[in-house]
Amino acid sequence: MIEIPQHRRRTYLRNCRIFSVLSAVFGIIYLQWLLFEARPDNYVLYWMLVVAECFNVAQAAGFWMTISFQKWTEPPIPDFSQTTETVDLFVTVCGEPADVVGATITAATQVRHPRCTIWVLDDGQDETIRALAELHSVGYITRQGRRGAKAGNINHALGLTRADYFCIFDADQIPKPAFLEATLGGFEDPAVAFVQTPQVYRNRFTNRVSAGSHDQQSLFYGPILRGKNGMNAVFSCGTNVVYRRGAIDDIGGLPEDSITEDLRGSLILNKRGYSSLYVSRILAEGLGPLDVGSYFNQQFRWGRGGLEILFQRRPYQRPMSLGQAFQYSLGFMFWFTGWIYLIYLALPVLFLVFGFRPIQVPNDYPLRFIPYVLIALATIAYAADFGLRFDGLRFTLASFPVQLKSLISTFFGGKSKFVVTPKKAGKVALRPILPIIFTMIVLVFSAIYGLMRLGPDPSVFNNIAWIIGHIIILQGFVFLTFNPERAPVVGEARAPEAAKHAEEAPHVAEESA
Amino acid sequence: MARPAAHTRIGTKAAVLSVLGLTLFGAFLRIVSITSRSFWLDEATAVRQASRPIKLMLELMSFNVHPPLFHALLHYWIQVFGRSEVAVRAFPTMFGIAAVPLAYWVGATIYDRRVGLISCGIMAISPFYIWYSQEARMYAMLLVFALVSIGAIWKAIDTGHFGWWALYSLATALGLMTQYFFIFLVVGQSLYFLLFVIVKEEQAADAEGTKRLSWKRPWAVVQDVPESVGWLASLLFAAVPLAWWLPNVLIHKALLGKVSEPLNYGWEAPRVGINFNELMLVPVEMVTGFHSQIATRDLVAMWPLLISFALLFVGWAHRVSSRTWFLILSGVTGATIMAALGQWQPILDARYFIAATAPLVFLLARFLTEFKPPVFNLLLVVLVVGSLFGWADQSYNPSSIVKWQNREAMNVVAEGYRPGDVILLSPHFTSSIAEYYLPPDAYSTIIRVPGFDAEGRLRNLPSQLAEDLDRKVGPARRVWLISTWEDTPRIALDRRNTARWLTGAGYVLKKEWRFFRIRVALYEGTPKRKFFIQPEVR
Repeated sequence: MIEIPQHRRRTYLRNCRIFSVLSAVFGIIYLQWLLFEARPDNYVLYWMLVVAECFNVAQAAGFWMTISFQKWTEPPIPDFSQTTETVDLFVTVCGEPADVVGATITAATQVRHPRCTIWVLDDGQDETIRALAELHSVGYITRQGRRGAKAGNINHALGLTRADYFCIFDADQIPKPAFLEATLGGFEDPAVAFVQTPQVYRNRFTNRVSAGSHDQQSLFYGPILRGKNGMNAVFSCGTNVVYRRGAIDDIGGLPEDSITEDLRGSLILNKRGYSSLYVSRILAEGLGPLDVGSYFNQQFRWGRGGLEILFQRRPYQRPMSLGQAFQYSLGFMFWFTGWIYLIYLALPVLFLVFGFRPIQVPNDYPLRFIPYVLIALATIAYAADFGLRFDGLRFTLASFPVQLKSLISTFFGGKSKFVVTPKKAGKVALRPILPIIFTMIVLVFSAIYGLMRLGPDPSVFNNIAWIIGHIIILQGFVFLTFNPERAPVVGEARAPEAAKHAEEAPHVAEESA
Repeated sequence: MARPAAHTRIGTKAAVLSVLGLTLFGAFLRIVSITSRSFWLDEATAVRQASRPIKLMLELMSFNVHPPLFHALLHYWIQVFGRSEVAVRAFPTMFGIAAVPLAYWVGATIYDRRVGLISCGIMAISPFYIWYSQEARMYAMLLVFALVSIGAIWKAIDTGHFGWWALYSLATALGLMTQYFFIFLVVGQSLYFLLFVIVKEEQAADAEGTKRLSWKRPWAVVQDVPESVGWLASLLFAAVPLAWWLPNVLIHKALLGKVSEPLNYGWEAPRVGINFNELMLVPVEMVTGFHSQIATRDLVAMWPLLISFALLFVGWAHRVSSRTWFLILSGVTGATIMAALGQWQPILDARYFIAATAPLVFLLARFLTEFKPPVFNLLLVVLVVGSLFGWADQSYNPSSIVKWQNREAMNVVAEGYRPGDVILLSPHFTSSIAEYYLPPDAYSTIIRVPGFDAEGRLRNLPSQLAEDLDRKVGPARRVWLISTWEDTPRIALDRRNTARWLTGAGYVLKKEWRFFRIRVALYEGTPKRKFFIQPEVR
């Protein structure tokens, strides 16, 4: 997770704003050229490029705005001996391995709060889990059927429990003892409905897919959620979160009509006038997807859930604040990234195979485009405190087939199902990456065909260079499919770094010990 | 970036043998192709300048855009070894070869032996560095001083030892006296040093819980960071030779304004504005060397690879160590300033960037060590095969964008020249080429096209050109027209007008020899007097 030490936050925020303004200026210069000065060649492709670039700049502008509004919330640690509130800690289980659940229950029992009751909500009706709960002397709740998936499971438990607050941990999310100390202070404001904390993957040091997925999320759980916090538009992420029970009761429980109940619930709460907070401090660690297939399934669920809310749940029907509407829109936009990337993939292929190109490329194009891209990348790198890995970018772009599928299935697919991300690695499966392999074959074929058809021409080499860039991005998933378990270099490099941070933050070190 | 794992460590004996082998191989590549191209304009000019008495040479160099160290050393070199192409080029080649083991030393000092060896290999086989090792100009020498200054300042900051500061000061002084653009490397290094000071002060502040860094109390900062004394003193001493030399230059107030005259041919004022192809040409040439127009154009068109590289770099930025930041700041700062200046003056030429490229060699070597076999091996093979191919192409393919077959063209004139012939040379500023290659009696008949008026101003209006030719060619029966630099439109126009005047004045084109970027035409006839042409106007 990207965290900024307290003494650097002021400078960091100021620099983020400077970078954002610079990026915006270069973005506008580029778009101005593309819209008003570029000479279109093939008009269909030109407008495809315009749509793609406008989308990109809009998405980037959203990011620049978000990082400029970052706010760190550090609620005061309550003195629980002076308060009377009660807390239910839910560990949601649905078929996860017992050892994974056992570790979470053990950690949950260490969470410091005098009136906290732990409940294992087992949708898998697994006797082993029941035995585990009894072993740790924690509550066990199960039910007949799985109506409403995870949201249904939690609502069912809410019907049987009575605490003032409840927190949710997925079966693999191991909470830190200070979890409630660090979050409950946020509810001093009666308008706060929930307090979200980051989600990090502890298996990122031993699994490449998990590491990549972790890195992809690091921006979200760093500057982006802090920015949403600054605009009172924090989304619940469904785990490592504390809810005010009264707020959830007020909206009739967590929504069961969405496979992303967390996002939908956040939206409803925000519309009802509740606010939300983000505590940017690692208070739980979970397990990330272990193979590409699992990663894609997870992405598909999030994408489908988000797009269903956008197209089928009328998110803008009741007024929200401008900041909230802006932030939810950005969230929805992310799931169109794959379609935009498809345009970028198609452009060099269409030129090399058919000779179609969007614009006549004079010197002006790279002259406007390169500064914009470089400053935008520099902004991302700075906002991420130089903590971003290439995988973080690659995982977003190379997931394009999943994002395409999410949108198509939103309109033409059947009823969506909540699928739990597996916690044990499966066999090597090529199926999830077949679209990527196919894309790479098309790209390579186009390059060879274009070179043969058009000869060594600058336009050909220009498009081949784009293709090389795409292949650098796409090949990663093929590699990861066959080598998910080898410890990534970054893990080795980061382990001491994590230890260093632990030294800087005694509470973390203490908890790790 | 973190240092490579222990299993990649290389023993002393293996390192010494490898450096020796790579240096010998680098020397072989440089020497075997040393005469593969003839002198170009700047080389011939350097020989002309260095051949003059030292006092006169220094006086003339004060009008030049470069400081005099290279020319002064070349002056004595020529006195000992002579003026042949091989003898003259052996001087920069010596520096080019010295740069190979130096690259190892710097790479191994800043990172480790593995990076040192890869840097040494890059330096040995890079077409770009081979090219400038063979060019009778100051660039190989500049590279050596850049390498020494990079290694020395790093050692000085690392160890605080006086000797390293002294070496840094010396290398910087020599670099600045070799070429003014060396200053940009110093600016980059200084930026790093300031960053180093800030980091050190912040660390002290963290330890003490107080804010220490303040530009209002520089002396306190110097006391906190004792390295500052060495750094300031080094820069001060390094500036001494320049302080002696610059007043000689700055008295010629018109010099700066005339910097761009040769390329603009005294016709067009320098323009402010970015030319992407020229800008991209610099990194392309730095990586691949000098090739044909078509190959270069295709390589420039592959600029989207920059975006991929930027994406990769963003992904690695979190592991960039202070040593890597040192190199990035040292190299990229200079290159950026040069690129910015290049929008105003015609300095977007890869050779001017050579000092700034030195840190980039180590960054490239470090980048390669990021990969493990088999990807590392694959990249190494691509680098070696690509470099050797680039070297062969730039050495033996005459159609390079910066190659002129001056020697071949002048040999034709020298062999065919008869007393009484007149030689027209277009453009005017290439006379040093003719002076170097033509026999003295032939050179004495040279008429420069266009000419100059009594005040020394260029007379390149078409009507003036005709008037000059009419007056100067006289009764000669045979006229040689040597024309080069025709890719410059104004020069090509002058050449056409000259040829038109010759045919209009009664001369007949007898024979034409076309070489790469230079051609020789022989005209014969009995000239009419007072013939005025209707010239082609731009």
